[in-house]
Amino acid sequence: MAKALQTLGSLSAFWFIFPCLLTLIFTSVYPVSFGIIVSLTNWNWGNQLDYVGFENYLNLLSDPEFWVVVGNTITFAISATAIEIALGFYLAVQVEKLRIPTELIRAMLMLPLMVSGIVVALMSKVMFDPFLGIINHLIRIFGIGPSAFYGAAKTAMSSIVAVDVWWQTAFVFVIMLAGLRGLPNDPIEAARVEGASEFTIFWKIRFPILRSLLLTVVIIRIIDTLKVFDIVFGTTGGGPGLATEVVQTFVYRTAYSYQQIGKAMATMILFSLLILSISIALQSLQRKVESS
Amino acid sequence: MSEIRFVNVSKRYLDSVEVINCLNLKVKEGEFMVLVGPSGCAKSTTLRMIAGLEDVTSGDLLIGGLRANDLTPGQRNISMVFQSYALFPNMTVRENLSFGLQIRKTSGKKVLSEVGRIAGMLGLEELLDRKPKQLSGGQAQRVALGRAMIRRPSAFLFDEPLSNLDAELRVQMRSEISQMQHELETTTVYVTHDQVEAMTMGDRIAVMNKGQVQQVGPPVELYEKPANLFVAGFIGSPRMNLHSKERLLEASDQNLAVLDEKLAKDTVLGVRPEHVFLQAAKQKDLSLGLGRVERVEDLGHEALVKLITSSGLVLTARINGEIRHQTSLGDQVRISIPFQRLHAFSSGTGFSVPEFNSFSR
Amino acid sequence: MWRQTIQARFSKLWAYLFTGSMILFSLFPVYWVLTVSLKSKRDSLSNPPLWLFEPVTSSYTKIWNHDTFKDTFFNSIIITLIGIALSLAIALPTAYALVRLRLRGKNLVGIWLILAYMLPEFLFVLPMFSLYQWTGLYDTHLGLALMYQVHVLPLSIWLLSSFFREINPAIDEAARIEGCSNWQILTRIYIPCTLPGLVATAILNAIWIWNELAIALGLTFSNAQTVTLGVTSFRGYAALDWGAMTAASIIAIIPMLLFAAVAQKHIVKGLTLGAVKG
Repeated sequence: MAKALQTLGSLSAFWFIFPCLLTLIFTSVYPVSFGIIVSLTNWNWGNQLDYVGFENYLNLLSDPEFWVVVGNTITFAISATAIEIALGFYLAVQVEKLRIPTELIRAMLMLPLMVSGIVVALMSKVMFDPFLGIINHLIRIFGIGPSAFYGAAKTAMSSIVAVDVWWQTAFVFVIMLAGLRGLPNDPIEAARVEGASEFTIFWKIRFPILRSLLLTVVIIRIIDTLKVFDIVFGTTGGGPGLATEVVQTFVYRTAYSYQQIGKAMATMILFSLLILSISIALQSLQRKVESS
Repeated sequence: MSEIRFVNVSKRYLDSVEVINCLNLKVKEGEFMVLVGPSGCAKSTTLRMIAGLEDVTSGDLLIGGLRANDLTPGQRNISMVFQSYALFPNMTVRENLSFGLQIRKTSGKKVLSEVGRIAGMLGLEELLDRKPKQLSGGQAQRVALGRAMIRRPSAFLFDEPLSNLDAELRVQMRSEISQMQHELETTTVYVTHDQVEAMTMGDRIAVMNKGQVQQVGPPVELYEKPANLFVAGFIGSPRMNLHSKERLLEASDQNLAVLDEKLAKDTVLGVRPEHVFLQAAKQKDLSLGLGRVERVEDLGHEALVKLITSSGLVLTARINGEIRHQTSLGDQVRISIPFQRLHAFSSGTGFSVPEFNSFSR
Repeated sequence: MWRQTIQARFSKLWAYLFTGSMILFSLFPVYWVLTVSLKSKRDSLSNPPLWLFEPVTSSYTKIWNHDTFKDTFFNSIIITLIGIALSLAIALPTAYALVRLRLRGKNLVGIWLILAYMLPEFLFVLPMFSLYQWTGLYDTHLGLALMYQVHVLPLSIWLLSSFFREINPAIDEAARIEGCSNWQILTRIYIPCTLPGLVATAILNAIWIWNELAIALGLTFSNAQTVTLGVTSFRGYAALDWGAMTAASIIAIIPMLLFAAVAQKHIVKGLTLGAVKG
């Protein structure tokens, strides 16, 4: 009977999470199995649906265009994340140093985060316009430029990275500021009493405590930037040529412009595996940092 | 009002060791039973099994003669006061008090009158519209009591309810809870680790250790006739002096061959600090000869004295009155213990040796 | 001693300077786009760009009367509301069960949520596209809201869980003894106790849903197009009509700015908790 009660208890608990389970099945089990099946066919949204085995995968892996796209995505993810982390963390340290109520300052710094990716993209198009844009006008004052920005293969990718930095640095800033404020005061004051310099206190006491949080933010930003779509779609659309084509815009084009669903799904499956392995690797690194 | 019985109750958590093994305990109808023991002795688990917050792994839990193992907490008609009070933070005092009645779909008029009755009883009238955050510790405690009383449950359960209060308030609430329980005559199980609470509040005390009931009885009985070494050591502060028979008798300057013979080899003898006298032995006293005063803790109304006999035996004595002014560090004093104040235990089983204890008295 | 004071002063001065320039960096683009949206067509195309000009609202009136932009704005409001309602309805009991109820395989659900959160949009947009066309959910408000609900669910569950975890578990037990069922504990105690957290969760969801593009692009055609798609539609003739493009952008930003102004603290808390969980 006691056993019966226990199962009854967990039955009620089961109904509590049932809608969530249903949602998870609907949105991960179904799409992933659909994706795997379709990736083995040459479906084109229409009536044509033949089993082609691993042809899509083999074609992709031997397609130089695919590797350019993967390279672009990784370049974008690494450079954008690196700059955002450095800038956002540094900003958090500086703002924390002010020791004044920073509510308004934080609100102003957070503004870009509230803007949707596509709007960020269009705003940047206005500002980066090679002829009439304010940026070229401003950098001319410093004797640089003019630059074609999105217009040239050489500068397009850096321009998109710059836009992402404007957009997402605040994310790193907000979380690291909260982390800095949440640090225990006692060890820092004890170190100050011992006569440690602020520099030493930062690197020997505060940074090690924050390392795990910082790594979490890195993981989030890496995954997020790997999945980049809006700002590329809204600015260059992948061009010029293939200069800024990233995985998700590539898939969008493959599926909707070229109607090659099999190939698109094969790309998505490979890409999801990449994201999963990167995040698993980073998380195990984080566990190591946490335990050390 | 109903009696609560544990019949061969065991409790095991998933994949872990047994925390309670074959517990048998009877809380009589209307009785105030205190469960006391060191942390980890499963006293709280025992209480929570009565409440229905923990499952009973095996055995039977009877409330009012009915098997309650499978009843939900709500069906058991008991109420509980928590250490953290656990008032519902989103509700006013009034809503906290009436919540249980409303869940049970009591009529609005009845709820109103019951809230009035309880508020009057506990002096909560002024606080009815406050939220728990706006209450002091003592007030929150009273609201928790009111919430427990309003449904007229068949039993009250208390889980260390006073440990978050300051010392003065604790003394006050202690007597209030006792008084309330005596008026309502509701069966009560009260868990505490505080001996003073246990001794002053309980009709009976159950001392627990490692998931086992060590002894059940009225407070004075536990103090005067501890059933085993654990209870002897646990009840009473400072602790009872416990020494092996050899060490104690060897410290004495008397010829104790008779006594020595009477006691088994593995006997442990105990004496409470207040029965260690700093004076020459009279007839019927065990004399420990001269000892040195190692340390004096003067508490004002009494002093605790740590003594070392010439044979190296360490004893704590509790002394009061004028004599404490005559005792200072390093003094050589005579030590004596009335034979009838000695407690004997078998060190193997831990049980008290009743023959000796009746012989010496 | 002197040197130290000077150093401290300088470091503080630098902190102000750096923070100030970062604020400028954050605000300037929005300010600039706002000015462009208020310029007449001739002013907006002037070279060099004008800092001073006579503001006109013609771009705003034009796009607001544009065939579809206004519709996309209201579509987004409807879809955001449905999405929030659905996600909270599912996240609340799930978070409660994960935090307080005994349940085998709880951790598995947690891991599954993290995985679902990491998957790239087009992995499920394309399969959903087929399913939606087949079931008739394609290009409907409900269909899009369903997908959004799914996407904000993991974050909602994490946030609500962390708010629930702050409630003393003894309160559950007290309520249980008073005769409450799990459901009554959730609705009568947990939800009222975490109302601010609930609002924070809803606001973060709203920001995410309002700003989403890829899923909307994949699963709508005309009837249920969202404001992000409305803005996108001005992308094509960007060089010709900056006024429309910037005015649409500003309109799309405004609701989010209102949220940020009212609920900055909640947003920060939500972002921070989300990061710690994710």
